[in-house]
Order: sequence, then C-alpha cells, then structure tokens
Amino acid sequence: MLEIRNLHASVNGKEILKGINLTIKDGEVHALMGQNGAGKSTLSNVLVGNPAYEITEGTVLLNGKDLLAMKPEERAHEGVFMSFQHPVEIPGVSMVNFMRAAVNAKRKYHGEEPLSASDFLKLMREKRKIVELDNKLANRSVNEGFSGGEKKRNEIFQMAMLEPTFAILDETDSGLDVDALRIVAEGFNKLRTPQTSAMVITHYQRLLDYLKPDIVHVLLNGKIVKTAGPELAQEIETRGFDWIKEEIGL
Amino acid sequence: MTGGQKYISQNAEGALLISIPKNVQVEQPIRVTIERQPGEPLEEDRHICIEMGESASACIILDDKIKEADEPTKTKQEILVTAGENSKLQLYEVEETHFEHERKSQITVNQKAYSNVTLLSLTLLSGHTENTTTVHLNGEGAETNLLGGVIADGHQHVENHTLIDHAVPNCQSNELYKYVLDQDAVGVFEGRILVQKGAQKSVSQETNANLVSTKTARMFTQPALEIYADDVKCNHGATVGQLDEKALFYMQQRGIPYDEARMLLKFAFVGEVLDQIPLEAFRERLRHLVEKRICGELPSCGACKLCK
Repeated sequence: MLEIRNLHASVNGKEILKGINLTIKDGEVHALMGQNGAGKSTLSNVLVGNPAYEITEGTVLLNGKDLLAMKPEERAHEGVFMSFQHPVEIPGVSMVNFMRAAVNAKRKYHGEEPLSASDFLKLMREKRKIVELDNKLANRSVNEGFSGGEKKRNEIFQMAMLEPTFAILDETDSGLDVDALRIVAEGFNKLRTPQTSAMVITHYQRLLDYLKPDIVHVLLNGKIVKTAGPELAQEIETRGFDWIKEEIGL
Repeated sequence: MTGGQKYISQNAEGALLISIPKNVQVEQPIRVTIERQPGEPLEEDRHICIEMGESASACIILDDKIKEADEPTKTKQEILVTAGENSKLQLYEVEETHFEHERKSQITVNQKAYSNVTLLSLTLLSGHTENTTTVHLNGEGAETNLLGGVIADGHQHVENHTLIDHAVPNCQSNELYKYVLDQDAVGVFEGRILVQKGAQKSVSQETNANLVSTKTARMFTQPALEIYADDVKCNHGATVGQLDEKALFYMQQRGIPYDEARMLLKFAFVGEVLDQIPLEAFRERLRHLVEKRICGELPSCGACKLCK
C-alpha cells in the first residue's frame, strides 16, 4: 500500500506539487489525469527518487516504510517501478547486461543468490514474449535505435522482469499506434496480481479502456482536485477539464 | 612453438625482430610479453622491429607488464614497423604496468601500397605514459586503423600523440581514441592528420572522445587536420563529457546501484574501441581486462555482474 501525505515538491525553486494526498491500496489501479504542467510527471519522478526534484514537505509510505528516505535503487528493490515517459538510450550497454545487473541487484537486496546465466536468459526469453519483442533484444543496447513503440514495449518488458508491486506508467501510451498500445496495455494486464498496484498517468481514455482503473484522479495546479470512479475519465474525454475548474472555482 | 613464434629473433644489441616473410599468413597471434625480473635494471631501453613481407599477414600482441619494484621503473621504447605491399598487420599494444612507471614509447609505421594496418594502444594501468605514433601511408591504397583506449585514475598521466601522414593518393585512415579519466588523472590527446600535396582522394576520419568523471580529472585534446590537397574527405572531432546523469538515474530506477551503474557506463564507453578489434578471442580477453580495471575502484561490489 502506498500512502502519500501532504506532499510538496519543487523544481529549480518553483513549487510544482502543493500538497498531494493519495492512498493506493494493493491491487488497485489509479489513473491520474490533468493538463500539461499540472504536476503529474513531477509526482511520479518524486516517487522514484529523481534527484532533480526537491521535496519540501510531506511523507510517502510504501507498505509502512519511509519511501522518501530510500535511494532510487532501494525503492526499486522494494517494488517500485516506473515506465518512463522518455526511456533513456544507453549506447554500449546491452539489454542482457542491463537487466542482469538489475535483477541480480534486487535478488541480492532480498538475500537471494544471483541467477545463473542460463536461468537468466530463459527468464528473458519468457518475459519478452509478453510484449512481443524479438530475440535480437538481448544484444541490443538499451533503447538505442528503438522505435517509439519498441521503447514503450521495452519498458513493460523490464517491468515483467522486475515484478514490481507498485508500478507507475508515465504516459506510456504517448506516441503509440493502436497495435502497440494494445500490446503494451495487454502486457501490463498480464503482469497484474492481487498485490500489484499502479498509478497510470495518461491524457487519453483509450489506454484506460484496456487497464480499467478503479479510481480516477484529476491533478490541477499541484493538487488533486477531483477523485471519482472510471466514469470520470470518460467525462474528461468528452468535456475536457474546464468544467472541473469551474466546479472548484478556479 | 605455436604459430609465428619462430619468426621472432633478437639481434646482438638486444633488439627484437619480428619478420614475416613474403606471402606467409601467420594464423596464430604472435604474443610477446614484456616483464621485468627482480634484479634487472630499473630502466629499460626497448627496440622492436616488425617487418611484414609482401602479402604477409600477422597479428602481434605486445603485453607490457612491468611490475612494481622497490623503486620507480622506466621504459623507453621504439617500435619500427614496415608493412610491405598488400600485407596485413594487426598490432595490439597493451600497457598494464603500475603507478610508479614511466614510459615513453614511439611507434613509427611505414606502409606500402595496399597494406592494411590496425594498431591498438590500450593503457590499462600506468604512471606516466607518453605514446607517440606516426603512420606514413607511402603507397596508394594503403589503409590504417588507429585505435586507442585509456583508463586512468589516481595521479596517472597519459599522453597520446599521433600523426597520420597521407603522402600519396587513395589512402584511407580511421582513428578512434577514447579516454576514461577518474580521480586526479590527466589525459592528453594530440592527433594530427596530414594530407600532403597531391594526395587526392584521401579519406580520413579522426575521433577523440573522453569521459571525465570527476571535477579534478583533466583532459587536453587537440585533433588537427592539415590538408594540402583539394579532393579529399576528412573529418575530425573531439568531445569531453561527463557520465550521463539521465542514464545513471534510469539504471538506478531499475535497481542498479549508483556505483555499479557508473561502471557499466564507463565500460560501455571504452567498449566502442574494443568492438573494432577484429580478433574475437583477443577482444573478449580485453573486455575482461577492462571490466576488471574499471571494477578495481570497488574491490567488493559483490553482486556486480562485472566482477564475476
């Protein structure tokens, strides 16, 4: 369970998050919607410990542990995963070396032996099928020369390898064609368990049609201003955000 | 004797001569390991002469492994290479000495028509190193590939000065040097490509890229083109940068500890040079050595993939 209390954060001295309160229980999928600049990406970056963001107030607990006190890699080991809006290209580091370092670091953190080379490759083979990536994946450099769709599928592949308990999808649907969107969304759904929770950031209803969120929040000007069921996403799709602004007197 | 060891001899002055006769293709790499035995002088004057006969081919590995002694050690090295017409030579020089070693090395290569020479200079460990490499492309159709890799930390100082001389038309040269500097290391690269008058259709690509991972390490670089012909295709460039913070964070988000992420990025950076080594088994060995060297900063990084 993730509990965010009164979270304030700023970038380069400018306050972006102005008191976020949000609780995500195990197994729940929450959608976070809002206009550009509302603070959606800031919230996800703060949760994964991006050093570019400064937290000025508030707490975040993950299964009772103080998330904000952990290094980014420790948060990952505790089950936090983010599918990046812009996955980073890392020339010269192959996917197999990258993933092996990641998987084995997590195993070490939990007191487990590293996976043998053959077990690891077997695992990679199995997981890449979930998002229909081919067998050339292992030897390609991380995201280098990947198309937009491949990059997003690669994010979900990494999620499959790391089996997080709390996943953040930061505009994973941006730049995807209809088929790639389906592969990514179905891939994500296959990975869901009763313990997995997620925060999905999106501008569009079509991703949510696949993911079927339990709760939809609207983030405006650094605060969550409206929370409702999945029908809220549909309403935003047809009516935009202005009516919500009027409702709260903005 | 395996492969080409039989082509090695030593003259009265102690110079090493490696001479591959005309049309001989040496299958196995010729490996020369340079070590200093206890009691031997601390200073060494080394001369190596490599002669490739017409259409001969060979791969020569020079491992400079002078170990630490009670006092600082010193080497002065001179290597003279003659590549006959249509010959093919891969010469790999790996320095793995120690922090109290001073090395001055000069390699001069003379290439005849249609000869193809690949030179690698890899500085894994040293104290103060100055390598000077001069390649004369004296026959049409000659091709040279100059590769260099430097991994330096502590107070290491590593210089590479190169000159590729396109003396005649229709020759090709590629040059790639990469440095990874840490702590207080200092790197110097000076690369000059000279295209002489009349050396038309020369093709040359020179790149020097450097990763400076601390505020106290320093890199000085000067790539230079000097062209006296008017129908040539020459490029040169140099970069000095730091580790990619975005890549580091991406790796951390996946659970890779910061220090290990740094090592992976450094290794990837030098890896580009190693990728260009045609001899596969040797390439893999160098990868291993470079991994070990980069890992050396963290003697106990248990789960690190690089350390196994």
